[in-house]
This record gives sequence, structure tokens and C-alpha cells, in this order.
Amino acid sequence: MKLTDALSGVLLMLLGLFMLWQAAQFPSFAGQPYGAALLPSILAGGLILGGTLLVVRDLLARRQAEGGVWLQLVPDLRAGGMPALLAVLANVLAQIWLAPRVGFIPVSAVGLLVLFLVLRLPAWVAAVLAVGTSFACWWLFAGLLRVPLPRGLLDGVL
Amino acid sequence: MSFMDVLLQAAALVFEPRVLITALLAGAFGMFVGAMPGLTATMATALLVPMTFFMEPIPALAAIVSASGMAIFAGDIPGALLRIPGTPASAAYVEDSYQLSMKGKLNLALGTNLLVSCIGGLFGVAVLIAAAPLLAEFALRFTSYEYFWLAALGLSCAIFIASADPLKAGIALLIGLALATVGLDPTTGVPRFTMGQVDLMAGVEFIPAMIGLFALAEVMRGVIRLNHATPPTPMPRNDGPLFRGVGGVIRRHPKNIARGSMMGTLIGALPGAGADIAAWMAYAVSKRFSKTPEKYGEGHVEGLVDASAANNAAVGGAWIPALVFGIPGDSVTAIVIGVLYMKGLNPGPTVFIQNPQLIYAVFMIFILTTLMMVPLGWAAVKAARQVLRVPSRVLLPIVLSFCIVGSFAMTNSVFGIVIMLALGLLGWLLEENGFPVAPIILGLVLGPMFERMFMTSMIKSGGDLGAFFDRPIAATLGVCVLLIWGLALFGALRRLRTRRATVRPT
Repeated sequence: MKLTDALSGVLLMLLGLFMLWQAAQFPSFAGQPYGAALLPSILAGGLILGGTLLVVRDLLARRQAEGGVWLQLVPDLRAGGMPALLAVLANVLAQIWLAPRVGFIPVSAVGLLVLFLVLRLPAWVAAVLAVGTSFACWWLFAGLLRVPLPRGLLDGVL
Repeated sequence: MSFMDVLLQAAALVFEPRVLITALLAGAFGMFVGAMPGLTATMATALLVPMTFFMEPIPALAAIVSASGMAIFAGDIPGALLRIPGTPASAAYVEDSYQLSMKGKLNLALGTNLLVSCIGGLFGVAVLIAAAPLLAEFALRFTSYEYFWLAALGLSCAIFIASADPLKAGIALLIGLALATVGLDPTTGVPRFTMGQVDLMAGVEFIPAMIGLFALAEVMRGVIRLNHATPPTPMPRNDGPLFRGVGGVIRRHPKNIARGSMMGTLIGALPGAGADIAAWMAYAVSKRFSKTPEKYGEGHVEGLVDASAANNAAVGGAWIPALVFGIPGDSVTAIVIGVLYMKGLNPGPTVFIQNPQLIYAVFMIFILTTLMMVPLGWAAVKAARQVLRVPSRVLLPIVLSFCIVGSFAMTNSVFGIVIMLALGLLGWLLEENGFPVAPIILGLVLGPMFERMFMTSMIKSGGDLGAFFDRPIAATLGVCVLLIWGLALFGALRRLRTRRATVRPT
């Protein structure tokens, strides 16, 4: 997503306001004038100031040149990159939601297979690479480094 | 303990088969990642860290030093072969090295890159070895005020020196600092911005954040670009021994090597500016003082010499503030500081007194890996044609897998993956909109220290800001920081005025 600087600026100002609002609720202690809220409040102030400057700078630039659209897709995404991006995100989300129940290897193998196919690799190459990469990751991290990757359905087999 | 004892202990730590093999494997990994266009030295380090997490401190540091140094050199290879810099640090002179290889001087370009990188790297290490212990002795007398200003100086450099758009870099830095405040407050123990999530109490885990910002975001950008990638550039021919004629180049340009190495070390040592900025500045200075500036960009070896000495010298230079003050010189040392904290070795001047053998072991590893660069680099150049044929559509999904598993390994839960995803999306969005990502990681690493020093100073002085300038070193550093800000604001105002002046006539 490509935003105009003015829009990014407004978003940053909102983020700053949100931080200020949250920081105002941090408990303070008697006799301690500087507490947990001090730095976050300063940073929030900085974000609001930075956001304002971005808005002003962008509006000034727009007054000089004909401004473009306020919001547009990243050019590469419009040129057909969307399925690949979605496949990458789906891989990550599946590892977060599905893998704890189904297990790392099946989720990884299927996810990678889809991604390889979206990237237009021949089916058999995609299958070999997807399964190979999944097992290699398992071997390296769960085997050698003892990382408790979720076993899921393969519990008892591995 | 005498100095000799320290050296012997350090040697015993380093010259162990496990450490040497780790350094060699990590070096080969760094070579591969650095040589692949689009995969950076920072990414090599970020992907390596989950594995170093499970190692002893010395092999872990050996792996990082080795991988980052090799990756910076290896970035030159696709520059000469395909006109695509492998890492941003090679971008400054990619035109020269590609033009050289089109003129049939591929080996001269890469051989010069390799040997000069090695010389520059050794120079950076020499300065590191000479300067770090001295600075550390000096730094022992520092109080929270000095550290506050040092951190502020590092953050200011990241905004004004290391970026084209200081406003956006500053905003990125604020975002990084804000992310660092998530979790339990260090002075009062109050949870901040945790949204009731227990996992966030300990803060935003640094390594998954790093993997998200530098690796996942890069994978996303990579796959999006894949579907309309340009057909591969034909690679120039390669024949004869790699180092033929390189000796002559080195003999003709000793001044360039010395100048590039010095600039690289200095820029690397500046907090927030690393190898890529060192290369650009060394190239610019070289062109400025050259007798034949018109030849730059058309296959001239002179700028290549300056800049490739500079980017490898910067790798060593960046470790000076990292080891002495715990303030990262670039994004790789930012990761290193994270790793040192994880190992319970808090970087700072006290390490030089309590564990001098560790510091000298790091120095030895540096020298060793820099020398190792020559044979490994030779092998990498020979293998480059085959390696560069591995298409991105095969590589990017594999990198994605490593991102996922590596992030998981840092928390032993899917929460690491959640952080990686969040920061990956954030990094991608920010970069697409022209915000640099490196300041975020700097803010994330320096944030806790910055806040601790700031709060300690504020509580000590009872809120009196004048106390920040009471001690001589603190005052000097403080004035430096204020000067940087003052100059930047002055420059911005002047630009605004000239812009107004040019608009008014119309």
C-alpha cells in the first residue's frame, strides 16, 4: 500500500495521540515525579510533531505540483504480485494458527508447495523442494538445536 | 593477570576446532547470502542468530563476525557479473565493476575487490584493537549523563548522517524507540502498551523483530517483484587466474586504500552509519580528489579501490562503539549487542576489565576471518556462476521457512512468529512509503539503555536539565548533539526559504 505522506502523517499523529492516552493511564508513584509515562509521552509528542511536519510538507509540495492520488497499491502489486504476497502471508499465518494443532512439517510442506506453485515452478520441482525444505528445517532446528517445533499429527512418528 | 595470559586464554578460546569450523561454515553462508542479489549482510546475520542462540558466546560471535564480513565482500560479485549489487554496501561502485567486466577485466575487478576488502578489513580491525581498550578505560568514568548523550548522539547520527530524508528517518527512529517501551517499565515495573498480553510483558523480542524487518519484508518485496522480473543479464566471460594484475593496482593506489580504509573505519565507528554509507562517501571523496574524475562510473578501478576498502573497514569500525559503549555502529552490530545481552555479557567498558580474554578473542576472530576471506572469496568467485543461477523463486520461499523457524526458536512459541509478521508488515509498508528501516532497529536496541540513562539522570538531578551539562565530557557530547540538530534545522529552514523563493516568481 502506497500512502501519500500527508496520510502517513495523519496516521502517525493518531498513533502519537493513542500513546499519549495510554501513557496518561500509567500509574504514578507518590514522591516520584518522573515515572513510566515520561519517555512514552515524549516519544508520542515526537510522533505527533513528525506527523504534522509530514502533512505540512506534503501539502506544500502539492500546492506547487499537481498532487497525485492519496492512496494507491504498490505498483508491483498491481502488476500481478498480489497472489505471491498473499501466499507468503498465508504461510506465516498458517504457522501461527494451524501448526500448533497440525504440526510444523505438514503445514510447512503444503504452504511452501502452494507458494512455489504460485511462483510458477514446475509441479514436481515444487513438491520436492517443499518437502525437502520442511524436513531440512525440522532436522536443523528440532533435531540439532532442540527447538520444540510443534509435532501435531506426526507426534509419535517423529 | 598479565597481558600475555590474556592473549593465551583468548587464543585457547578461539583456536578450537568447533570455533574454527563454525567460523568457516558461517563464512560460507555469509558468502552465499551476500552474493545473492536482494539478500543483505544484515539479513545473513539475522538469519544466523537463531542458531547462534544455542552456541557458546565465542563460536556465536565467530559466526556473526565471519558471516557479516564475507557478506559485505560477496556483495561485489553479482555487481560485477550482473550489474546488481549483492548488498547495499556494494551499490556505490557497481557501475564501475560491471563496466570493467564488460571490458574483459572481470577478474581484475573482483580480484581487486577481494584483496582490497581484505586490506580494508584488517585496517578496521587494527583500529578496533588499538582504540577499543583505550576508549574503554576512558569510558569507565562515564556516568548516566555521558551515556545518555552518547545514545542521543548515536540516534541523531542515524537520522541526519545515514539517511536521505531526515524527517522520515526520525519518525522511523521514534517508532523503534516507541516499540522499545512496550513491556514492563525498567524503573517502576509498570506494564506499558501490553494490551493485556502476557507475552508482551518482556517487551518486543528483538531477534524476531529483526528477522521481520530485514528478512520477511525483503521476501515480501522479492516475491511481489518476481512476476515481471527482467530476463537475466548475460554474464561476462571469466578466464585466467583471479589475482592477475591486482598487485599492480594495489601498488598504484596505496593512497586510495589508506584513505578508503580510514574513512570506512571512522564512518563505521559512528553510531548508526555502516558499510553502505562508508562505501558511498569513500567513492564520492575518491572522485572528488581524483585526477581523472570523468572516468568514474565507466569502469575505472580507482573508486572501486577506495570504496571496497571502506565498506570492509566499516565492519571492524562498527564494533568499536558496540564493544566499548554498547551502542551499535550499524545494524549488524545492533544484532551483536542483542546477542551479547542474551549471553549475559553486557557490552560496555566493564567487559574489558572483567573478561578481557573475551574481547581479545573477538579481535583474533576478526583477524582470522578477514584473512579467511581471501580463500573463501576466491572459491565464491569461482562458484558464482552456478550460485547466481539459483532463481529467486526457489530461494525466497526457503528464506521464508528459515524466517519462520528462526523466529519460533527465539521464543519457543508461535509468539515469535507473530512479532516477525507484525514487524515484517510494518517494515514493508514503511519502506514502500520511503521510510528507512534501519533506524527502527537502532531505536529498538538503544531504547532500553536510552530510557534507563535518561530516567536515572532525571531522578538524580531532580529534573534539572542543567545537570546534563555539568560534567565536561557530558557537556561536550551534549553540545555535539545540539550542534547536529541545530545544523540540520538550519539547513531545513534554508531549503524551505530557497524553495519559497523559486516558487514566488511564478
